[in-house]
Amino acid sequence: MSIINPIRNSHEVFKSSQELKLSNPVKVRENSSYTNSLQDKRSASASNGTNNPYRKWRGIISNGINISPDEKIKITLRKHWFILLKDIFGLIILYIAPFIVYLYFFDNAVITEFFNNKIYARPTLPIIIFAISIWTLIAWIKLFTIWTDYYLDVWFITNKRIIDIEQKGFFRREISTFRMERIQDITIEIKGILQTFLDFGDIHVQTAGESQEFIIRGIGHPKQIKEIIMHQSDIALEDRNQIPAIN
Amino acid sequence: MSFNANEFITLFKSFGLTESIDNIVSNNANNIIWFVFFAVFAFFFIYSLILIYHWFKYGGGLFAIWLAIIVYFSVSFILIAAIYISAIII
Repeated sequence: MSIINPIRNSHEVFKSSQELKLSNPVKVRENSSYTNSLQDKRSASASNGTNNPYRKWRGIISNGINISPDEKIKITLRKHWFILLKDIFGLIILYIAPFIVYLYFFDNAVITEFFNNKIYARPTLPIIIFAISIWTLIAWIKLFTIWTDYYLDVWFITNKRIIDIEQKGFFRREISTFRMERIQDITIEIKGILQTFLDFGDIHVQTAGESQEFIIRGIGHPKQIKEIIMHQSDIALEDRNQIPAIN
Repeated sequence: MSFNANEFITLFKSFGLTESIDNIVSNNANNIIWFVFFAVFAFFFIYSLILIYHWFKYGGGLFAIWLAIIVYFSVSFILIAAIYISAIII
């Protein structure tokens, strides 16, 4: 079996369809042996230094997430691509706004008059390139800021927990974990025509105890994700119930 | 609603700072261009460092991250070159 990348888009679900019997699995992949080997290689990486090819997973696993040897990452989720597109669309509007304002509300006569008819005020080609390039560079940086924020918001669903990593700006990062056996109820919420046709929405996970409701927002294929979480929760509950019987 | 250029000119003229800004700009046009260039470059440099820090620390060194780095710096280099060349010509 080839090694797969555990980080994929939210609409890409990696799980055995035979095991879960999903009605409409998007991508089907058995990755349990991969995650097993990942755990082994992580240990090797720690001792062998930088030559280990599995060193690249260090960033995912070591940043506040401690995964026990018997814990396996089942799915890695991100928000639906439409969420990213919506943010980028806002940036595009902001980017073209000055051009529209300039073209419709100003002309050279107004600007030169504004600057008291000085020769430098007449927008020559280098000045136009200078201004547009600066504006484009700022928009370009902002675009990658939006993408980074999108890319670093990620959910890991393991066989034991749901791990929610939320990047809020550059200097605020929240990591929450919820144990599978504590999950009591899962509700999905798909509202609006776009969410219905593009198949994305929110997943509300109600946990036992004092924890508040946990919401996975803007996730693709929420029905399949719900099934996977429920399935993992059932397994976790069965495992927990078997422990006293053995003892 | 129709656009009247004279109204805009009158509006701009009503600002008291217009004349003083005009004098500052006309006397230091070259310095202002280079100040803007270095300010933008500093902004780009600091922001890029922060982005790279997040990409490498939390991104896990995946293919998407390397692709993002290549695309980001390629286009940024072209834009900075355009800013620099146009600043020289101005």
